[in-house]
Amino acid sequence: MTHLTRTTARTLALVTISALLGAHAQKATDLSVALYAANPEAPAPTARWDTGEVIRARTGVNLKFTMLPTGADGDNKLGSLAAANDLPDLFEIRNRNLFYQLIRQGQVAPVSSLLPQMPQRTKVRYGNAMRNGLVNENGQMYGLQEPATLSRQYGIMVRQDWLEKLNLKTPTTLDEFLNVARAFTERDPDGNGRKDTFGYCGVIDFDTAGILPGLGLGNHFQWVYGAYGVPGTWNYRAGAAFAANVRNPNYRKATEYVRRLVEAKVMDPDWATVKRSDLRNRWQQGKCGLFFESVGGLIAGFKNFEANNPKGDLRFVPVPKGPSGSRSMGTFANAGTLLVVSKKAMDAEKGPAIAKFLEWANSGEGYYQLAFGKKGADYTMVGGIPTVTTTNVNGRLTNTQLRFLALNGQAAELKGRYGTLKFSDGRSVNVYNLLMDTRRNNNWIDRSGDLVVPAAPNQADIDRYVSESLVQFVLGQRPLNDGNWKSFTDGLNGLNFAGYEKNAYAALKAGGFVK
Amino acid sequence: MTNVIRSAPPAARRSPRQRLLARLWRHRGLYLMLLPGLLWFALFRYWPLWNAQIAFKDFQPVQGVLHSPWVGLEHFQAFFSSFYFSQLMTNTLVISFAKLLIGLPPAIILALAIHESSRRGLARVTQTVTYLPHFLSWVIVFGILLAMLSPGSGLLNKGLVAAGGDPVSFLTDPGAFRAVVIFSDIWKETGWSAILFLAALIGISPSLYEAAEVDGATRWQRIRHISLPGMLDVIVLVTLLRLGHILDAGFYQIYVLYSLPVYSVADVIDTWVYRQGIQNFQFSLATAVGLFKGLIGLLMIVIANRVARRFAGQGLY
Repeated sequence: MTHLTRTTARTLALVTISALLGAHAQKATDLSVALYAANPEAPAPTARWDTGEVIRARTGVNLKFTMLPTGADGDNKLGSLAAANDLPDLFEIRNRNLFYQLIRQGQVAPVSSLLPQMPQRTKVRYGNAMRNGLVNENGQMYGLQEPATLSRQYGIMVRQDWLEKLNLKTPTTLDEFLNVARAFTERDPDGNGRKDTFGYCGVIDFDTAGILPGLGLGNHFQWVYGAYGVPGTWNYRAGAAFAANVRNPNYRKATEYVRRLVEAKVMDPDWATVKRSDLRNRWQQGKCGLFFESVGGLIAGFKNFEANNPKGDLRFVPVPKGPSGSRSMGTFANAGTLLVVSKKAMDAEKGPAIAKFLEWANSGEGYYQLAFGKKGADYTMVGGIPTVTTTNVNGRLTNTQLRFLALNGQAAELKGRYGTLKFSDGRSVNVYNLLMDTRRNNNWIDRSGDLVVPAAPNQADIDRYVSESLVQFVLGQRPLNDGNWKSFTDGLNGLNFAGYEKNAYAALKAGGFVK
Repeated sequence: MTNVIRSAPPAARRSPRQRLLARLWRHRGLYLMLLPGLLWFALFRYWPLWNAQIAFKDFQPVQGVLHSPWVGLEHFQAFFSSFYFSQLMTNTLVISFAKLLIGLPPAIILALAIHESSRRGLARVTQTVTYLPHFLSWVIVFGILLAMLSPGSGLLNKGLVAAGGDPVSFLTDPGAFRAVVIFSDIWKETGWSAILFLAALIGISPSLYEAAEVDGATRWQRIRHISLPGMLDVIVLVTLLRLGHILDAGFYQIYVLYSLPVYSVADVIDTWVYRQGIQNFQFSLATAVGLFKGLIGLLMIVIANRVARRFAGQGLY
């Protein structure tokens, strides 16, 4: 009898707990969220994901997370979802062309109604008029434009040990840069008796992580155009004479300098073909004396580099000056992640759940969980700085795949993300200081307005025409003389480039970016 | 009581419907096997034709395929009047025809060589080795090509330099790039293409070869008068099918191999559609170009089939 009673009691308890859990599960709102992979090198979260469990417990959101591939593949995936009218409830969007198309097609919803429901987040993230201007269309706010959490993290790195070995000074001008690059190519700086090193390693790369590549040869050569005062695509200061930089005579001079680098054979002969990953392999193997790299790239590659070059010493150098004293590593947008809510989600009244989830991710437990992982397991707080403690790198990275929803770019966060690199011979590098140096020393130019410039109907042809022509000039396939340069700039007319410039000017003026 | 013996009505008295059903039932096994193939065609080849109407519309996902507004031939005009149209057509046709004309003979020759080999073990090894590259992705092939052709560290260029020559930038030189595309495609696909021709050769009755041998025919005469005619229908079939895809110059291969310095000789219709249509989210434009390619392919098949029937005595249909 006693046994029966106990069994009945247990059964009743189980039924009660199940009912409560069931009720809780019924309350949870399904929310599909798609973000670009924060840590593409780490696995996607599994169905039984710690962070997902925490989110459900704290916010009542049953998260269905999709990790978008980085780069154009992710843009294409979002485009396909849009074409199928199957966009996620909340998603990140990097391609502004797609963003404006989705607004026109009515697939994304105005988000201003969410702001009062997440007061803390709104206060620290969505109060900036310039950033909000980037997501306004017809007087409506169509996106949650986050502040930049990491930008201008790129710079030119030099093999300091090679400089010292060859008794050279850090280059500060374009001419000095060429001389150092030549020495690195010809004077066997690695001492292996073979001419197998390159003065400058750069590739044609248009990645938009934290910088704006502009039309032309891409990120890795922007510093040359910066030295001639024409970095990026547009000249904001020209006023009524507004035009693309490509029309500026200095643009040709910068192209001529890149041609000199190629002619002097100080660059990797494969530079026009290979990708950024190949470049990274080469500097890690110890083939490059000067190269364009990010702080994150340095962290990811320094162990390989050290294994191949035990005495190797890498430093960022300030961006070289041009003949008239101009200098700039390139252009950047002072805006970070753009979050968008689909109209379907708003129609399904998921707005409050989205706001609650984002507010939770803004600070306190939610912020640390998404940005740094599990407290005590993935990180601990040391002097107010979240410091990574785990050796399970992949586990931590998986736990922080949603970090773009949380990151805020403040100093404590950056110090936590960019700690100290320790070499086996006892040397150490404070990466946070490096990051600050690249920002301070490289005269990055804010061109946030570029984000509102509408893509031309034939944008792919314009991009190809300019980039292809410049590559032909610098490779010597097309002699860089007056006639050919004129032919190149005249050729822009066939692409209705003037119409593209006119629309750009109108958009930049309406946004208050140019006078 | 009279016993009535019921028998099936004579076939001549059956209705056409009954005859059809009886025939279907008699060959039910074959029709069952046909079903998945038919379903595949219905789902992935015919159903998408309904969606192809977006080529004539300003496709708005919210409004759907049916309710998006009609724009007539606007997307076709955008493609035909695009800045690079003539270059795209030229590149596509040159690369595609070159792959067909230069790529087909090696596959036929390889099949003949394997078939004629008296050492079966060697033939099998050759066949396996030659069709394995088909399974490599173009990304891997690009790595191999870079290791071979790089002007800095490529094996071929090292050889050229050792012989006193200058390195050649095969992957960035517009004069050399098409050759790289065509020959890398031949290297990758010849073994795989040879399988069809080999199957045709195996289908030829051995008695024909034995009779020819008894009559004193040389090996070359046997190939010329037995093997090649025996393969002719397959050669015609393969050629016709490939003509149907004449505007597909090999997207994956070119997308992986090409770079800015060689766009002028390598940019084909599909790579342009990827950049302008897919990456700029102009799905109607991409569909219009796809439809145009399909129509040209159909036209090529019809014309080539007539030519084949007239000169070779056989065609696809």
